[in-house]
Amino acid sequence: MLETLNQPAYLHFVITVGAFVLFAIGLIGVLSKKNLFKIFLSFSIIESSLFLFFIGNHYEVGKRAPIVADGVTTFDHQMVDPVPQAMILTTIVIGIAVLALGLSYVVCYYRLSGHTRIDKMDELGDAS
Amino acid sequence: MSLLLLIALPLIASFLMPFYRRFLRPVTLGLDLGLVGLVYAFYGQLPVQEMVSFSSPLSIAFRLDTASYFFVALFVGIRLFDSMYRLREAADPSYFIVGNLFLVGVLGLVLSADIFNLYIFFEIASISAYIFTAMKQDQQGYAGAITYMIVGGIASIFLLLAIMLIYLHLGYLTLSAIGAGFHTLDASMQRLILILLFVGFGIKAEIFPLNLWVADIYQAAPIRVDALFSSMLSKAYLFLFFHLVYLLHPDPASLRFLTVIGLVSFAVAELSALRSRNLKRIFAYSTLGQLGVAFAALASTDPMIIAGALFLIGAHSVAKVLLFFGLDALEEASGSVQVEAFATFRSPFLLTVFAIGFLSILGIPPLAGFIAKLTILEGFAATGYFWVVGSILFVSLIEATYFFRILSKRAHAEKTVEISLSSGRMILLGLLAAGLIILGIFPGEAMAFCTHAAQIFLSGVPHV
Repeated sequence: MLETLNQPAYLHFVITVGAFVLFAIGLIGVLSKKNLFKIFLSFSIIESSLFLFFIGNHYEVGKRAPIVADGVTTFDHQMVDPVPQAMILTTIVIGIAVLALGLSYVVCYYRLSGHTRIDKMDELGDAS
Repeated sequence: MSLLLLIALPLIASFLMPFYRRFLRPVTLGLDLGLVGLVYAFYGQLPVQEMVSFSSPLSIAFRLDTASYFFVALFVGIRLFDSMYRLREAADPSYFIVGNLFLVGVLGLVLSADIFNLYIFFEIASISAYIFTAMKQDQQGYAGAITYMIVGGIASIFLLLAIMLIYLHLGYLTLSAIGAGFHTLDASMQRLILILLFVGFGIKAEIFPLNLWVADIYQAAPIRVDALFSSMLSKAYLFLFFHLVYLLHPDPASLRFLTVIGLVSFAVAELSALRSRNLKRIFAYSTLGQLGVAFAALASTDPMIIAGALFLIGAHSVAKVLLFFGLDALEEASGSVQVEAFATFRSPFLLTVFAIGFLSILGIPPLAGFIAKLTILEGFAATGYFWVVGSILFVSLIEATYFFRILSKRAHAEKTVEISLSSGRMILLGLLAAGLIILGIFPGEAMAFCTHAAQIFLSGVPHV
């Protein structure tokens, strides 16, 4: 029965559903949480769901990682598509940088305002 | 000569900064002059296309045609102005590094010929804009940067999902291949990707209803950073938005929808400016309004109107740099950016600078903004879109109301704030103001260039 899951159509369906659930968890977090830390972490969960969706949909059972090393000199058909791997690696690095910057700004904001709640951020606007 | 130099030089200069920290001001000026020289050198070679590193689809593809050249020249020119304006100030290493990153981001956005590298430059421009917003390191700055990051995060997710769906269904990343293969997708998938791209780039291009956050960011950021946001960042995303629009060949109904969105954006922004009393916010709303006009015009598919839109983008960028740098001098002297502060300064030169900026944005002759709006209105009238002409003229009256209200504040107020600008800064601001007048009186060459750029813009992209 579990062998069925090795077929690309089933495998990709399961991965897409999993990614969608993860996306929904992150989206609920972004929309419902008031704490800035939790909002940034929810964004991170949404990003992870996109990574899972993209990498998972390019994975096929039996294929190797697209690494050119140890005597392997070219990409071949036994490797998975290298483009999604390269894209997601880059995106992970960008995501971590943005998350780190965001969290550090939340810390700086907390030091000046004494809170981390988005619904209390009223520094900006015509009245300010 | 390689297009990569435009991206690599600012990055290398940033990495090497610790070695010439003491000579930062001349190095910054030298770098910017070098970039201007480089851009000038490319003028005779257009279009230029380049593949850097691996073969497609792992390559980094760049393309410089007349349309993207217009924006590259504009950005590099504004950056040179910014550096020269700061020449007498104490060197700020963090501003140098973030400024270089920002320049790389906006240049990459207009030069990239593949969609994943667009995403990379989208993030580079965004990260540097977040840092710029928080540069004052006060509570407002951090609140603004956090708001910006949340909005930017949403845009980034939409864009990333669109790129993933494009690669999943087409197997390409280069823009020309995507343009050629996009119509082979299911209609529903095409619609989904277009909506994702519209939201992702629409947020950054500051188009209604995705622009409600913009005035807050302008209020939080330092004024000179606002000048860069208004004249470079928003313009880069606007170019990118319509570059993708014409690449994907949408149906005429979608383009009419974009025209309406642009006009609504113009109206909502000008109405918001009417009730604001903070000059930073008023200038931000004014930027949104002008972006709305440019947006409506760029969606027209008529080369004459698009040429007018490009001319408007250039004229507005110069006028906004003038206004924001003038406002910076006012804030330095009075400590306030409220409308009331505008009434109390004593400087005939600065008042003239403000007046030229206001009048050019309003489209009053003989300034550059007048030629831009006249070309757009003539174009819409010639194609039978009189309701667009009427809408632009009617909303322009609202715009005139708040600009003249600001100027009229000075009539009875006592002038107590002295503003002393150095002669160097007066020359720089004077040159920009003179540029708006000269372009208004002799628009021929510039308009011919914009017309050629418009034709390239409409044709999508050549094969890379």
